[in-house]
Amino acid sequence: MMYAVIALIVGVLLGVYLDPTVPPALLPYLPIAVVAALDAVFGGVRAQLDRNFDDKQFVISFISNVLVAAVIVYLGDQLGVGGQLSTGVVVVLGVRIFGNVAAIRRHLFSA
Amino acid sequence: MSSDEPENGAARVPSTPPKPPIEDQPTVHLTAADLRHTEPPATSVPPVVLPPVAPPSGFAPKNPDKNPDVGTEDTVRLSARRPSPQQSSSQVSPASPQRPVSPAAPQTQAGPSAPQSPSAPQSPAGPAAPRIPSLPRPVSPGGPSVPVSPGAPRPQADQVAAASAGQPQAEAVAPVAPVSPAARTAPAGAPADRPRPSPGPSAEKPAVIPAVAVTPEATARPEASAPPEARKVVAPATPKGARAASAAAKPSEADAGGSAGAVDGPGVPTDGVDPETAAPARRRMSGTTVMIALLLLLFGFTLVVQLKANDGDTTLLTMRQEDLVRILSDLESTEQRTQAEVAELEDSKQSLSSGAEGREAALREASERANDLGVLAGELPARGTGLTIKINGGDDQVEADDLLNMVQELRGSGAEAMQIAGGDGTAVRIVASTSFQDAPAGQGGDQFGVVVDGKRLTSTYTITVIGDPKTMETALRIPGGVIESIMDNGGNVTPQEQGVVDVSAIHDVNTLRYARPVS
Repeated sequence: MMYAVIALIVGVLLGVYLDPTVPPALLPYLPIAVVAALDAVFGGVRAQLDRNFDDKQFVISFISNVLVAAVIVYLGDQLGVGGQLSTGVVVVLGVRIFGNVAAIRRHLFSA
Repeated sequence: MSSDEPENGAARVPSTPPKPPIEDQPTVHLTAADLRHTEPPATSVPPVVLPPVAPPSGFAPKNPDKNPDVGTEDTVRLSARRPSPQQSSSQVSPASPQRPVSPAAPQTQAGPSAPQSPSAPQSPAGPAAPRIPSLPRPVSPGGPSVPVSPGAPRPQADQVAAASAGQPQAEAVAPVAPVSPAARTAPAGAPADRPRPSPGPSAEKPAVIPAVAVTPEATARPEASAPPEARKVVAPATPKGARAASAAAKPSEADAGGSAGAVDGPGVPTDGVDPETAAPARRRMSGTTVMIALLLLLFGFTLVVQLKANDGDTTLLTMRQEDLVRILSDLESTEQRTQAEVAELEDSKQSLSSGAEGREAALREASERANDLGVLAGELPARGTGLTIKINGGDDQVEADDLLNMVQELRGSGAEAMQIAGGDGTAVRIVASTSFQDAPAGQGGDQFGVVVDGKRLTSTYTITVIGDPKTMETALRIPGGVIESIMDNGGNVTPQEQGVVDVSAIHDVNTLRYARPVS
């Protein structure tokens, strides 16, 4: 688990020090992708606490979450309902994140 | 698990040394042991493994409770604890009771073979000990092997020929008949379920499966060859089975290789298997680990990037077309409103500036008016066309009434500013409130004079007036008028017409105490 935390920290530091600019084409999808990844990460933490963490499953769910979220928003943009669809994606992912965090909380605090 | 297996193997190895004498039994056990967990013991000292087998039977009950993996671990530990082969016999006896406990079916079928097992445990010590122990053990492991009952006849015969070897084979065979179908169908996949039913007592399912496959070969071959094969096969198979589905493929290999391979064979496969399985596992772990690390790294990176991007004023960049259009229309309406406001302000500015002009004009006018009023009020010196009138006469000839009449006559004829000066040159501005009074007698020399506005004037009096000279002179010369009345009294009045006269005397300004302008 340590390597994951270390990688996360390294990524944050890279982002802080490299200070890159996001390509305009990706700007509408990056926030959604980040939220989707957040969902996958919380799911992974929960699975780890449940002791049924699976590397492969985590990797696949992470990638598919991000891709599906971005594709949905892209489709929405093409259909003219990008704003509404991205809102919907954020709502769904938010609900999932809340569920995962609740499970993690039960594990950590038994409450 | 991989780490556990090596340990188990090590544990068994030490235990094996004591057993070497009873190789046959060990071999038989080995099969069971191999099935359960580790090949390494088999490779190093197959006989040693055998004792552990007996314990497994005892463990069998535990296995059903726990997962296959857990069960294997337990069995391994137990085997390690019970190292000595000789003890195995004693252990066997416990095993027999256990058998009944595990599955009922195996026990019933074992019935025929069962008698042997009990007898075996009972006679552990004797020379037969090797066989006996083997018998009980086979039974115990076989116990799991309900199938043993069918196989039992064969093993017994085999045993006669090759004591220990035959029994192991029998064990293997027994599982084979029942197991074979199951094992081939899905040996590795369902190690937990299938192993338990058929081997029941025996903890390890994967072991059973390979054993089954092997058993046929073992049975076909001579008894002596059979045991080694069983060991070999079992050894590789067990580790594999425990680890994963790969076991299924390997068992088949084991069968093929097993026949050709000798005792050495098992050792090789075990060594090869452990590293192989372990290495791929590590690679897999490292691969997924690297993947996860990369994903999380990317996640942290994009998270920070997104946070930073959102921090700046690049909000417009992230907006959608519809939002931008809305913002644009908002801006346009705002611009229109602002333009209207600008026009309004321009208008007010113009009106204000024009007002300023008016104010200047008013100021000019006011200042002019102030000058006029100042002249009228006697506060400003004045200059203009007018008359100078000299009045000569003593106190009897010229009195205050005469002077007042003259001033009123001049005002009536349009005089704008006047002053009166005495013989000594003292001048007093004549305004609306100027007063004339005969000076009290007894002061001064021969002439008392007149007091004007508190100043005493004496003859000759000079009145300087600004106005229309003709009109004023005419008014003064009216018959029976001012000049005539003064002349009658013996005085002398001489009006002199001049072009421009100066009225320089100033009336002191009284500050108003009560009156205030209404505005």
